[in-house]
Amino acid sequence: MEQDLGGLENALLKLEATETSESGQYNHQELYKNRGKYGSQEERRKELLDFQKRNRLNRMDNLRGFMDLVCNVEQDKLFKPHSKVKYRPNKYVAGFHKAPNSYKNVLMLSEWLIEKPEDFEENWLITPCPKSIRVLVVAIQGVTKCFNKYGVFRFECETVLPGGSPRTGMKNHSCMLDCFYNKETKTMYVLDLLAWNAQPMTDGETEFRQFWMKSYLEEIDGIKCVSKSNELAFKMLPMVPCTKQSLNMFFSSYPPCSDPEFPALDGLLFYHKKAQYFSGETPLVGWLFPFMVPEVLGPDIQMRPEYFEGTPSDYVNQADYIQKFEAEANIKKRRSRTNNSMDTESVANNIETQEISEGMDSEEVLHTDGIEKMDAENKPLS
Amino acid sequence: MHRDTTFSLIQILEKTISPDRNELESAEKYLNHAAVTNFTTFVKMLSDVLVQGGNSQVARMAAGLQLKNHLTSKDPAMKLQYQQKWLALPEDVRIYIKKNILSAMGTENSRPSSAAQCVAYVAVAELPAGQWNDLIPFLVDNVVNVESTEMKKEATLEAIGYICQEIDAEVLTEQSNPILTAIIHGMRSTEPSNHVRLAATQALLNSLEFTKANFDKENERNFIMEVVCEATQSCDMRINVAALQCLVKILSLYYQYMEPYMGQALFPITLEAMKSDIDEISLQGIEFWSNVSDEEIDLSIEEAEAGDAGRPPTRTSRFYARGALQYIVPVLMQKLTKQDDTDDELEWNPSKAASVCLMLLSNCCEDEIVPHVLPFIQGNIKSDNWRYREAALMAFGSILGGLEATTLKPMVENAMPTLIEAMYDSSVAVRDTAAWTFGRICDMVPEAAINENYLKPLLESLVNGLKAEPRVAANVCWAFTGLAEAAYEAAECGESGQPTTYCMSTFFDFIIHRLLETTDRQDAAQHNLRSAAYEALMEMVKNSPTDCYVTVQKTTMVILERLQQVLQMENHISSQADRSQFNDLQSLLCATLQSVLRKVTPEDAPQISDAIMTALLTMFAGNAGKAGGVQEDALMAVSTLVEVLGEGFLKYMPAFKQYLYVGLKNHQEYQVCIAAVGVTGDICRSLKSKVLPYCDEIICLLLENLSDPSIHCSVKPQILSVFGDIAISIGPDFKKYFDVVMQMLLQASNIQFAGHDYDMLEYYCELRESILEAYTGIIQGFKGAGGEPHVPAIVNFMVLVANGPERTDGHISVIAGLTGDLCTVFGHRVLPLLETKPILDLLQVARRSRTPRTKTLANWAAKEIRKLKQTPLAS
Repeated sequence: MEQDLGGLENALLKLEATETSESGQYNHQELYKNRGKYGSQEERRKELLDFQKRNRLNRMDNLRGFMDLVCNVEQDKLFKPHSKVKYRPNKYVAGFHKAPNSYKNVLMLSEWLIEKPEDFEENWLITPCPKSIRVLVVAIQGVTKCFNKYGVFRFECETVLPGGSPRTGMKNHSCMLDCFYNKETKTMYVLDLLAWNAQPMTDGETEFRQFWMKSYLEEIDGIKCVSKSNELAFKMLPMVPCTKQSLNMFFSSYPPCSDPEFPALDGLLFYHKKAQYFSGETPLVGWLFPFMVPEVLGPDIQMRPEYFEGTPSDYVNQADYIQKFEAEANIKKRRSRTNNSMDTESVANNIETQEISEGMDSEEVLHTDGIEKMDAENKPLS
Repeated sequence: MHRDTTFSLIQILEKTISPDRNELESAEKYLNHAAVTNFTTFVKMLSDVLVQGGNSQVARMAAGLQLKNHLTSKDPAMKLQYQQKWLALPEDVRIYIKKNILSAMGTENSRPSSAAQCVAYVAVAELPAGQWNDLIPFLVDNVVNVESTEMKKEATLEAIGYICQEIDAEVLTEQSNPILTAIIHGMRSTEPSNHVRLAATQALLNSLEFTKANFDKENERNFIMEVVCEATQSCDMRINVAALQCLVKILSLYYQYMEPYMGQALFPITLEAMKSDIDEISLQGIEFWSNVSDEEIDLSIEEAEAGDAGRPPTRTSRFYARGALQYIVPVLMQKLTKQDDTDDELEWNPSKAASVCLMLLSNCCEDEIVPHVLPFIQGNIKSDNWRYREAALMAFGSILGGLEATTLKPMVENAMPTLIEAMYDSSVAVRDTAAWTFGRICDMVPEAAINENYLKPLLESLVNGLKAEPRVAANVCWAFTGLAEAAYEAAECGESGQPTTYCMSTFFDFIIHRLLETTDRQDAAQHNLRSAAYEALMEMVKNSPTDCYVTVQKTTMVILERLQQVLQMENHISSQADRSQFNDLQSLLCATLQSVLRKVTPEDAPQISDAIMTALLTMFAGNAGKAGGVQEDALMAVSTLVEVLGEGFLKYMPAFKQYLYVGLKNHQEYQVCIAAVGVTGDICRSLKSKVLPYCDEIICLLLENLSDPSIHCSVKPQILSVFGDIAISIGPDFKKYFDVVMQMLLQASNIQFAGHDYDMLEYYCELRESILEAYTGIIQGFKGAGGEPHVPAIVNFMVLVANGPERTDGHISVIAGLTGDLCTVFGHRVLPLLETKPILDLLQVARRSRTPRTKTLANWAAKEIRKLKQTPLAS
């Protein structure tokens, strides 16, 4: 009976009232050594919920345009000094582990144009691509910053773009451009416009963006030359309709651009007139190497022979080329990661030395291979 | 008839503690049946059994327990239900029962009183509803009445204590005077019964929150403090401890009033308590100073924030910790040398508490602590006695947190050779603490840990430590966890935002290999070694640069293989213990899978996803998949797979959907249900419009969950947010669900927060945020193609939340965003609704938010409004 009573007493003691006071007796136990670190499932739960919440918010914000992203990235920096708290709570506190905003995945990238679209003549535009680095140019708060495709910061300078120099760095002055950067001539070949003076343009269609880009950029004095107050020259790439007549015109000169400093031609981009600016790869932007044009778009386009000079000696057709190209691109990627495949057997002792030098120049190396396409290789998984 | 039932009820109640499982089960069954079929009679009879002194002690206590179980629950939602059920009983029944339980107090021979608990939980249900107003005067009279027996006073004070603890402070504020009178009456040093005094002291501990008004008055405060301080000197250890607990809590609650008592009373009392040889007393003394440090750290943060905002702080620190350092630190270090020999990891003792107290003191006093600790460390780190070596090391590791970088770095760098040496110490306790110290160093001064002069010997000693006793190895694992992050953060960032290499690259493969071995140790169940090793593995992988990718690939394959092996073991499990280890292992493997998956390149992911998905599906199908923990972790692994594969996950939907639905239907294990709801959201965001074929079923299940009153409340906000995900993903196709979802949202919008329960408040805030998120998804998804008639209701809700006193930063940001969305989608038509004081005021507040995103959204929304105002209506 005594024992029974003990059992019941225990049951009674386990009531909430007494229980909380027991555990609340010492508040700091979880700080001892690594005690508080156990129970990782709870931690994982919170981490995942946090992840999901962030993904959700990002998705909402993406639909709200890019200007917000700019503000967020910039403000993250502004806020850093304030958010530095000396005492970091030992326990999990929401918001402490937030990933910073970045310019990763902002640029609109092409897919291979493997067949002539039905509405090709009415709805498509063509533009030449120089062998240069694709960059995102962000001018805001008195400085012009350039980021590569991965959102990694490359350099900053002063330009006459709105918001691009301390002189023009007034409130609400800003812009965001999609460009090719030629280091030798310090020239930005402007491909597209993402935002202008706090106004997102990404909701607009290609024609709309091109129109405004042209009118905005042409209004700015001195934008086409390098000077003390403009450390980069900004030049528009021609973008013309794909009607037969216009295409013939386009291909009747080489390179298809009036700029005497235009670097070697890499390839051709095709934009759908109605396409909104979309982050990542889209079928509304197509890519071709010049020597593929007759095969894909038809033999009746008249092109100067220079366009075929880059044809590889072993060129069979586009499909074969894409296959080889992607295989090669994969090898390159993997080599730069010193890995082979997921097969454990073959990777066991196979550590290749890194051939591609890392850092600032690696992208140039990739690009003199003539491959703007190279980076679009992150094909959607299907 | 009634007597017969009462008689059999007594017998049944006595069987609720039967050692015979069958008897126990049948008793429980009977009681449940009685509660369901005739609740009113059942509870009345329980109170009868409780009150009748002739019944056996067991029967009376069990009756009290049963009754109490029908009055409250740990689950807040269930608790609310029980309370409502009680309040719905006819008044005469309630009066009858209340009379019984009140008279039962003081008639029991057992401690604690079960009648007191019943009284308390009835009070917790009735007092907030404005009922049972004569209870408190009755209880007070019980205590102060000279006629009352010792048992009666004690039980009554217990009841008061429970009520104070359970009820919202505001309900009792008005009656704080009589309650406090009763408590203090019982606590006085003149009270002859120690039982009464103890119950009173414990009641005081629970009442401190709502006696603010009394603390605000100097004479009352003086009196309370005097009685409490007196009680700390009682020769009954339990009273002594309870009174010290009161002091600890008073300090946190009423720090600003402590000045007159600190030097005179609190400091000497707690210093003596710390020194005590009785652990319970010493622990409270230490806890007091840990709390002082905590409080003063908060105060300095508050002051810094006030300084930033350019306003004077509302409260200021009196720097008691700094002042007391020279007296308390030596005592703490003495306590450090009184380690427990048995190495019981769960045991809490003054030595461990002293380490934590030093940590907090260091955070609070920063560099000032160094001169008080350093001589002890230097004098003892090479002592012949392991207790002193360990204490010195512990003191060193504990104070790292608060020191300035300029002090910390040279100090740690100087110590590195000694610390590495300690990893080879003959005492296991010393090695244990040395390994832990490295973990701390990685957190606080990562640059010292990865310093090229020491990195190699350090890694050697740590890898060596992985083979040591489980407690040492587990601490080594945590050190690797910290080291991984430190090395990764110090590395040069590469092209894709990930470093190409880091200082541990050459050792990476080896370390991973050893960690994998550690997870397989026979004794890995001790000291959480297995979890710690997997955890370290996850962190190493998570923080690995590109040149370690081969090892990441290999690890992925190892984890996958292990998962497959474990799944084959399924049929060989016999014992419960095996089963639980087996389930834990599956959970850990799923978690590790998540971390490797996040690292796998987009090209590799599709190559392994089939194998992973097959394993996960097998797991769902197996017995382990029925264990909530495993199911949850497996669902979380699916979430990660969805994240990595994006649209590529589509091909698994036909096979996976049934398990998704099983998870969504798991109303019992709400963590599983939440994980399933989470995966649903991930799938919607990744598959976008391709999720459409599954939406009918998903929406149907989600709606079922929402309307199930028994489902854990934390699932509901998650579901509402997922409605938003679905709406964005399928856009106009959401139309067919629109009406029913809208109805749910509007209904949820009407839920009002009534009580004062903090957990409930938090839930309620989360719910509101989720509703707003769902509206955002719907507005963005429809892009104006529908929903306009509901805009006024949505805006009303926004205003309601904006004006709510419980408004959070999350609310502010989502309302700001939604304001902008409504402008862009509906244009001028919504302008009159949005251009109102509450919304504009909220945007003003949001612009000053400390959260960049909130600020940005507010600016954007304001701009959208401005834009509409500037463009003429016609356009």
